[in-house]
Amino acid sequence: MMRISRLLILLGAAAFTLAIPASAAVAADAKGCSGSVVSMNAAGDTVGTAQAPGAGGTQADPLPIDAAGKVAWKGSTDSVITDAQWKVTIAGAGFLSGTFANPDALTRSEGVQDMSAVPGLLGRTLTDHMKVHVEGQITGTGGSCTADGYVTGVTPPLQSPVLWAGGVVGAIGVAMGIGVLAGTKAAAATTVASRGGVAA
Amino acid sequence: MTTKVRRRPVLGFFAGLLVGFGLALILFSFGILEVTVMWLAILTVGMAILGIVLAYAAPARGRT
Repeated sequence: MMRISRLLILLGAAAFTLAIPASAAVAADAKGCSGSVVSMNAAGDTVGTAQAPGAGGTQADPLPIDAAGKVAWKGSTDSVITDAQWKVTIAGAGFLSGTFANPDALTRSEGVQDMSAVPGLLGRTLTDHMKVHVEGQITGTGGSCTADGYVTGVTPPLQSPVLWAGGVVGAIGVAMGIGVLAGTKAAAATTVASRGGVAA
Repeated sequence: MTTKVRRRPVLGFFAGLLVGFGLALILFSFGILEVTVMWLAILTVGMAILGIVLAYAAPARGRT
């Protein structure tokens, strides 16, 4: 009976873990602004394009990003935004943020981002199967802008350090799990008490 | 003399944590799950809980 109740607890915990729904899927979108992005590889060839709002950069069709390439972008806001704060959120976590004054009251801007200069391992760890939600926000005097979409990589999963790191970490965890099973042993009560063990 | 069972819930917690983290990275790599902090937390915490449950549900293998 005790064994059955433990099994039910185990199955319940597993079902709870699997039953929690994923975050709602959203398409590339922009409010209060608009923009376009052209992703290029190291040779300068276009590997993907996206517009927000518009085509590309959606969950079904994420924008490919080459870690060794560049991303050319253009953007405009619907109103003049000054003394603003901006932030970029990746996969639901804050990634970059900052402020700008915009003394010339500009509503348009463009540039080219060298992806090898992006901090962290993000660009080098993206695989061509991954789908990562990216969101940008600007809030300041005169208005605000929010744009979001999905990006992916150009590296096959088997060449990604993320996959191998996951395999190694998971294997260590499995080995520790075997240690849990092997270390569960019957012992005399006096022996357990003297060792500070947990009594069932 | 009564028989007690020596269990390893702390080891089970960390085993589950690592299995969950590793599994999340593998699933992310193959695009089976969307890369989000939420999924990472669900898998690591969920597997850590399962690790603790495993430690308390595992049968005793013999006397120490």
